[in-house]
Amino acid sequence: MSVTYIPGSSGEPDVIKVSGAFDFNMRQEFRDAYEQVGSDARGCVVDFRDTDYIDSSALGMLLLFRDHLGGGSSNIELVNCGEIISKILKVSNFHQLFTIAEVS
Amino acid sequence: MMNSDEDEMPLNKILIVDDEATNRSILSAIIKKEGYIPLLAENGQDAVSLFELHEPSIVLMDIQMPVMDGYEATKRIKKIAGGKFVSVIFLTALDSDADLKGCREAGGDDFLVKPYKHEILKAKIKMLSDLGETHKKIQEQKKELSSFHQTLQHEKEVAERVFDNIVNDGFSRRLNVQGMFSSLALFDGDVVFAVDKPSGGVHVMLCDFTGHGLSAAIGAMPVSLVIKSMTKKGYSIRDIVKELNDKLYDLLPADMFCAACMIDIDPANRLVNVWNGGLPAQYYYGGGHGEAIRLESRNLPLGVVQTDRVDFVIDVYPFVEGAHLLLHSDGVTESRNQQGEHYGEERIEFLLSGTKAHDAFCVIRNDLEVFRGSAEQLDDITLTDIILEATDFSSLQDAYQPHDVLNTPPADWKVIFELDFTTLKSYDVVPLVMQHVMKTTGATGYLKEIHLMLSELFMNALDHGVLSLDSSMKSGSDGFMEFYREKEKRLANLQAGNIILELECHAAKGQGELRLRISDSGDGFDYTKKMMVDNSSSFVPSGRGMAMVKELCQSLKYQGKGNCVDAIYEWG
Repeated sequence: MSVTYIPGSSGEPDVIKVSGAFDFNMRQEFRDAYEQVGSDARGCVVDFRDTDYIDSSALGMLLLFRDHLGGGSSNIELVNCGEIISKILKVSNFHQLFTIAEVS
Repeated sequence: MMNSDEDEMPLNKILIVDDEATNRSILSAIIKKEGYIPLLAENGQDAVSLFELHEPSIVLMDIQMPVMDGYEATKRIKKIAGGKFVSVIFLTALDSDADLKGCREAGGDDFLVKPYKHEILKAKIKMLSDLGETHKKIQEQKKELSSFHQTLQHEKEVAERVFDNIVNDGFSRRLNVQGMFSSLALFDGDVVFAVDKPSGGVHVMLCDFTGHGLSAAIGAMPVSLVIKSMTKKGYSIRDIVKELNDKLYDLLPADMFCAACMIDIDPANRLVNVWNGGLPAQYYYGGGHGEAIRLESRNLPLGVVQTDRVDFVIDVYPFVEGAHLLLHSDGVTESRNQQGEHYGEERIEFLLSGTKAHDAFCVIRNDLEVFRGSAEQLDDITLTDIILEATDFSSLQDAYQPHDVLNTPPADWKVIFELDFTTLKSYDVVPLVMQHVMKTTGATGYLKEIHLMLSELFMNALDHGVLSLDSSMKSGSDGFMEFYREKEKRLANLQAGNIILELECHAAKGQGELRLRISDSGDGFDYTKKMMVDNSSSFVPSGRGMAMVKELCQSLKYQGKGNCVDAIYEWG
């Protein structure tokens, strides 16, 4: 599995881990994962520690996920973003829409 | 699909060919019992005629017959059938190797050696009949598919022509532009526009839609129409970008958006205004500042969030004649070579720093091609270079295309706009006034001058009157940027002030006069000094603009303490 959904326990948010190249081919898998996150969830973490690369269709998928969690009222955190991923998110100014944390 | 041909169903007919009447009647009885219609022939020649007439899908064929034998008849039947399905089963008493070979060579599909069990014959007929059904269905689907394909092809060609007309409006044919465009699909996910502004200068925009091909191109059409019509009406890039965001937010599904960079090249005011949302840093170079200036993405791409939820950040740079803009989509920086490495922006910056501005585009283009070699292209690639040119007013084509003013009646009118600070913050009144002038004065061919006069004087009233900005701040390129940052800040915090714009028109038969008065709530200034500003200085942007206005107008006079200006423009 290149997309893993880990339900949050005891007040912790759900986590979606993406590994490999996050691109158009992951569309269905990512969707299956985020649909498990209830649209009433307080928030969710997308973990990019094992993600090599993201492309513009991945950005589109993140936007779909954001819509799923209520658009402007959603709370999605993108964590462990490596250098390339941070750069791509920065160019698109996605920090206006998501909380972004680089590799710790 | 229609199934009305069930009744004549050639599939249900079976042709029996045998010279012995007994055999024919036995077979005929079996076939009837199984629900098929028998056709009877005494020899090969009859068989061929009957086949032509009824096109049965199964033939039971004897070999030795007078007039024409079974082999010859089978060859002819197969030839007549062409691509249509027909199975020939030889019924024969002969079972030597040579006979079987003869059956095969004639095109027979199967054979039964006499005497045969009726059950086996029935089973074979059933099987071949099913096969015939399947074959028929496949043929129908093939036909359907091919007609669908043709329609699609046709529609694609029509769409491509329309797309070309709307989107690719001669951008690469402009004299000051060189470009390299390479798209993945028939329709391009990258699109570049350049539209002349009514007051001189040009709006340039590079759009990169998510995806490729048709789905990406769909978004390009409304973008193209909006940019063209709003630019021609004199709207600023801020208004245009907002409108585009609105349109695309409504039109596109949530996961589709448009990374774009829009640049307003404004030689009249000596400015280059840049809005970049989601594209890699673009480059402004060759302007004598040493290093290339990175035009960073400071905005979300278009179509991601609602317009009222987001700030539109526009950076302002000085216009330098002969400097270049290098525009590129991420298809360039993310191009890979055969080793899978990215081209990267460091490489572009290295080449820009080491090459004369004049040659930089060609050097980068060649370098990119060598780098990519024969590696597979993964994204649309756009690389284009634009040289900044001063506006030559005498040669500028009139960007306004007022189709409806050819027979404008005489116009005598006066309008007054009183704009308070809340309106000044959010609304650009100049395009609205220009629409009115365009539709009522008949001053076709003079609109760009009128637009220049209006926008220049209005901007002066706003910048130096209401916002009390000092144009001496603009000296040097740092101060220049500082000026525009300060302007944004003061405008956002504005709590008082207004501008009154009065416009009076007397026009008839292609001649006319416009009287403009703009007064602001500011402190005014010592206009005896202002009007003597040095025309040739390119470091005083406002001075340059005012000098042009003075040139264009029959009369330009400041009144009172300098917070009121009267201008008279005549044409014809």
